[in-house]
Amino acid sequence: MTDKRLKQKFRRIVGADAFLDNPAATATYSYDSSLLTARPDFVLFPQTAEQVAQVVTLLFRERIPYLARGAGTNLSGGSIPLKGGAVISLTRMKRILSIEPENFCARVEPGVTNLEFQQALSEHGFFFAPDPASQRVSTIGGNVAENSGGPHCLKYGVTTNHILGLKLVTPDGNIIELGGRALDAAGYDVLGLLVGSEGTLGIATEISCRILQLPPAVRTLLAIYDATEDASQTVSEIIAAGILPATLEMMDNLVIRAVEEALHAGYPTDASAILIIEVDGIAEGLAETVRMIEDICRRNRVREVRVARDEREREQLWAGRRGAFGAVARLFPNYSVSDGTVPRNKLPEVLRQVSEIGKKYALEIGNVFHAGDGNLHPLIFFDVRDPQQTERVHRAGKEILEACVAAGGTISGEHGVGAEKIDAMHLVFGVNEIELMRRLKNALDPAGVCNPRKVLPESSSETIVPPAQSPRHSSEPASDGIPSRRTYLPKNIDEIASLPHYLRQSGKSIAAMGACTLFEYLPKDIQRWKKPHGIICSPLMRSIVEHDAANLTVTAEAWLTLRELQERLAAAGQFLPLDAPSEATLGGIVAAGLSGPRRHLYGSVRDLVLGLQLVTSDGKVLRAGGKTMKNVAGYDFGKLLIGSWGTLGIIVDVTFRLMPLPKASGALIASFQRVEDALEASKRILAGRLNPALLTLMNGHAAAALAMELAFSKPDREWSLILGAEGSDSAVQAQLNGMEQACRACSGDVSARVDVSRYYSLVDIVTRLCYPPAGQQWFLSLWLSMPCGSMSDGLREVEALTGEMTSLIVAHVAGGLICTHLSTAEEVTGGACRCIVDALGARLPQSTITVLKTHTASAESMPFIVGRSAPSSWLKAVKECFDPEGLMNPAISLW
Amino acid sequence: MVDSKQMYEELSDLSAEIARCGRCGFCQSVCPVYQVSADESGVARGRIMYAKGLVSGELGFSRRNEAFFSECLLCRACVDTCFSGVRTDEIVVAGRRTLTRIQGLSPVYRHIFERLLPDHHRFGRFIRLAGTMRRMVPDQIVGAMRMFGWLGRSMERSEQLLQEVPDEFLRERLSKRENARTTMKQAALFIGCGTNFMFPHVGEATVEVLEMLGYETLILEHGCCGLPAYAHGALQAAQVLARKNIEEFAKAPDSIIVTDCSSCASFLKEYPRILSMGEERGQIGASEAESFASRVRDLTELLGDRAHVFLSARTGHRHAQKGENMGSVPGIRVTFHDPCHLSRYQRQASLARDVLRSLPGIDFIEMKEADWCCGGAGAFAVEHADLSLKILERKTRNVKASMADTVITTCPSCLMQLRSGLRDSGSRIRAIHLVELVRERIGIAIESASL
Repeated sequence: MTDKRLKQKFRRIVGADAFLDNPAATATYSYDSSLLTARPDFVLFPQTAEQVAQVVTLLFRERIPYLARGAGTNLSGGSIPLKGGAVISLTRMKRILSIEPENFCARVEPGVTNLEFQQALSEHGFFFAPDPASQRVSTIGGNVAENSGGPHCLKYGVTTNHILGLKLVTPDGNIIELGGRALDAAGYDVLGLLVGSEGTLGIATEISCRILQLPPAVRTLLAIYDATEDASQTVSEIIAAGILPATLEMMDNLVIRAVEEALHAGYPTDASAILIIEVDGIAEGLAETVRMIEDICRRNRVREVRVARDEREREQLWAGRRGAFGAVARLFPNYSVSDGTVPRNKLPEVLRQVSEIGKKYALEIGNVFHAGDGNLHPLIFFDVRDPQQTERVHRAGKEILEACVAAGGTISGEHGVGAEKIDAMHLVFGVNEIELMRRLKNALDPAGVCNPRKVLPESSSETIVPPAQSPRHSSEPASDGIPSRRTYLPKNIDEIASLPHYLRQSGKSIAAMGACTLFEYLPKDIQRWKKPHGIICSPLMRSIVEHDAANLTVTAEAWLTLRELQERLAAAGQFLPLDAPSEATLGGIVAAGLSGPRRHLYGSVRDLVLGLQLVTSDGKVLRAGGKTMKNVAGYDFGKLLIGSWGTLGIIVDVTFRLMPLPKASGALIASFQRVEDALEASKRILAGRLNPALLTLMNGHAAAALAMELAFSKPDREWSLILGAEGSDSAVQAQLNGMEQACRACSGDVSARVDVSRYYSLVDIVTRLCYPPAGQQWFLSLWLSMPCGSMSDGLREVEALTGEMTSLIVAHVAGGLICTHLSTAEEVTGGACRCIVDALGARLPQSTITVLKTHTASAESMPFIVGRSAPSSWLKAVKECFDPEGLMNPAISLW
Repeated sequence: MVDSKQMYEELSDLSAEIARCGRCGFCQSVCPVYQVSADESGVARGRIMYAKGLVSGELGFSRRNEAFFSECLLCRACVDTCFSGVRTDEIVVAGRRTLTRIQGLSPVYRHIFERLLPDHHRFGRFIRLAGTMRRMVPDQIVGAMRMFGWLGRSMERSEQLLQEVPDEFLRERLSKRENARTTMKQAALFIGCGTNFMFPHVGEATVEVLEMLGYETLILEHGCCGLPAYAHGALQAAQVLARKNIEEFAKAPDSIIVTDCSSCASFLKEYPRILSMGEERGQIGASEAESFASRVRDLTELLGDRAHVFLSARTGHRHAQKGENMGSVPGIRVTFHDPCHLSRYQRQASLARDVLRSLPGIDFIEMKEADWCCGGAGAFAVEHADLSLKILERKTRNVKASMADTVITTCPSCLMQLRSGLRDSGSRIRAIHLVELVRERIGIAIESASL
């Protein structure tokens, strides 16, 4: 197509005023907030997903490179069109489509700025946890692409933990949906891969965000130090004391002086460091927390602690931090912001190195950063008109990153790899990881037109692929007979890595096995059908590689059981806030992507895994992620392993994010005649911001089982709410009182209180009841994950379908999960099982159903996980990238 | 080959300023134009990068590219929010000056700047002429009215506006007025074109309130402050006006110079900088310009200084709190719109609020985005009517959302824009000048006290 005709076509799609190709216009899309520039050939401003899709289809067909752009605040050159082509500006797609408090969900178009979104949410009493420093301008689309962080990440996690779904225009111009309003989706976690892929795998045109309730109370402290080491030590000790602040920010002397000069914030200019510490939560517990923090500060020779007494004083304390950038920037012509992350206990050491690097290159460096999660942002000052100095800035920036990596950190906590940090990718990834990422990129963007030359180091094969499609070979399972099965018991990673290689030569398949806690529930026939040739089980690999208590992380080998891990962590006052059968192995839990009753408070395994190591079918050992909270280097391919059921690789070790054990905890059980009342009580508890750790609804059978195990008398009403709270003593009391009130107000009867001594047994039993309990023949056991707002519909449908059968129902109201186990005296056919699952799927279209156990006869024909997933072509592509010959756990297919 | 640095000398003089832009993009969040256009060419970062491209020779001037400089309100919101404090408004004006130099000043604008703006009487006669001749409005007048945003977006609108032109301009009214007793201090009134031709009653209120404050008002034969010419990129014309005004006000060397137009006030205060620019710098002594500027007061400053006077004027209502109905003084709900030239150019935003809070019977409500530009910005409202209207929409929405029944401001250009926005949206909220409210409230208070 001629250039002119092509442009006409684009104009027709987006409108003449939404297509720019004059030089001055393209020049204004040649830059972002990084130091790079490159001009596009033209700029488009689509306003709908369909327009984006049409534009991309045409670009793909013509093999014209393109990239999507939001506010253009990227700090790593990610929105620079290095190969020219098209810039698709999404700034005109800025509607907030819905705010759904009942679903803890809001849907927005990508061009909405983070702050606009926050402001709209706050009117409903909610917020979106990611709050990057650029939030006033940066867009949600950009936040998704970069997996943005912000000060609040310390407590709440990064963007990927808060995205429920995307409407995505694929690199070849199709519109697909990933995820939805529910917390779980079927298939591989492609959504997790997309978040943080820096716009190289598609363009999000609609984003479903998980939103959280604003904390009922906030307290802010400012601590002034004479020595940076003391401030750093305070940070470590606060974490070690079991306090998890909402934010923990630090400023060094250069910044303090600049702030004082510009803003007169009342900072002493001779101070070496200042910490701003903010804690939030239940009001009753905060005074105690603040006292503890003050004590820690004093122990570490703080010069002065100021506690804000009201909102105005809080604003004053923050004013200095917020204005810090500006205050410093005004002192020098230009500045460059670095972005490295280190385990937080390495902060003092790395800060020292940064200062030495500054001296070495004769550059002024200031530090104002998120100390709580170890995310450094050294500001290097220079004058861009001095090319020599600018070159020194680049070299110093690189050395700072090297120092971060050497300290166990990574090359980017928030800003992305983009174009500027591609060279640094080799610092954190080996060739195998990079090759895998490249394979994923090629599989999902076969033409290489979607934001090319970003994230991944250049390889010789990176050229735009001509229109003739590259053939995709299908992956037939390796065997169909019933071969003899062998079990291998490798002792270490090397032995595991040598196995697939050995088996592969004869085309033999393999699967890893943990403690078989879930296998027990999986249909026996599935095991026979497409049975792997070899089973890998390494009960010897059960050591804790590293428990970095000050960093709140643990790395453990995959065959360690959850119970053993928790026991070890408890000794250090910490725990892994993940509820799963305690005999299950860590590898198994991650491979199954489990969640539990306390998900609403702590997240699921997906939110808690920071990194993992795996062996692929070709015997390569890959490492995904790391041990820092914030890590946006490269594709987050580790997410794909979570819930992959061993079909992509063998997980050999996992790094988790930990939490300090709560000081106090407690629970109560309330019973209700009608399910509506119980749900209404739940609603009030959530609306009252009582922040429950447990909010689980059970029917009579389940409650009876619970009562028996806890030696309680069985509640005489049909529905029971299990309510739990964790935190400080006073907070827990306040929460439980509030919950009790809410239950009584909804004609609930509080039948039991559970104190701290039996709280964890209660959690354990509730967790176990999510899996079919022993002692009864369950013919069908399902997990239904749905938007929280649909819980009452979900419960109604489950009840209606199960009818006369004995059913056990355990529903995590705030997590949107219903677990149900069915049993009947009559003969059940496989067809009936299938019918139940199909009917539930049809009536609850937004839900994902996991079939934990089903009737033998139906096993073969029935999918294992039913529900919304990425298109099967994408899921297959993912499988092929990891396991092209289909040798990993052929028993399960997730597409 | 022409050296681009020479070709765009006004901009290349600002190279250091241009280089300070770190491209963070934060200006997007506060730029009223960008909020509407969502296009980089309409925000400080884009304008600066364009200027940089011109100076480096990478980009050129064309009609199409004029928008980079013309579609700016000069509201300075970006300057305030910028980490590095880059003076984008100055870069934009330099761009306009370059354009004016290259293209030359059109005869219409030349006539306005050189013949009409310096002389309110001549200017007034032309407006009268337009009023009677309606559709045969001479070009010059159309242009002149545009400079102040007086000419509507359509002929119909301009007719409507021309009908609204008062029967008597402020200068005519004041010439008939008897001055108060001359035992008082003197204040030389700087009569802004907007006050003179569109809002004479505002000017009258100013004179009355000045008297209450103990000032006798002096009326001098000065012309326009020069801001319209400066903003258009006609620096020399602005300098001629500035020099003329400095000379005129030298006739009253000991009095302060007061104006009820915040735009005029801020520009008069900038005379020293304006006169030090360009080829004709130094024609008037720096000290003369400085001493002139130091005498200039925005009326808001005088009112703010005397906030306590108003409080005591509320005879018998000393202990009244804001929002209370002052005895028989009917309470009203008031919000304030910051003219950019008050809040950002002069940094007097809090003074205006002090005044409002000190007045009897006022429930002051801070509206959302009170300091966002209303989109009036003088000629902008006419030259970029679409943009201006969209910017105004946001402002009108915020005014309405405040639930106030009166919106106050201190600049005639804003006043005109606010009124048109409220009228078009069918709102009954009234938009008036701060000084009108002061007169009204004190009048009521005195009346009710004497009852």
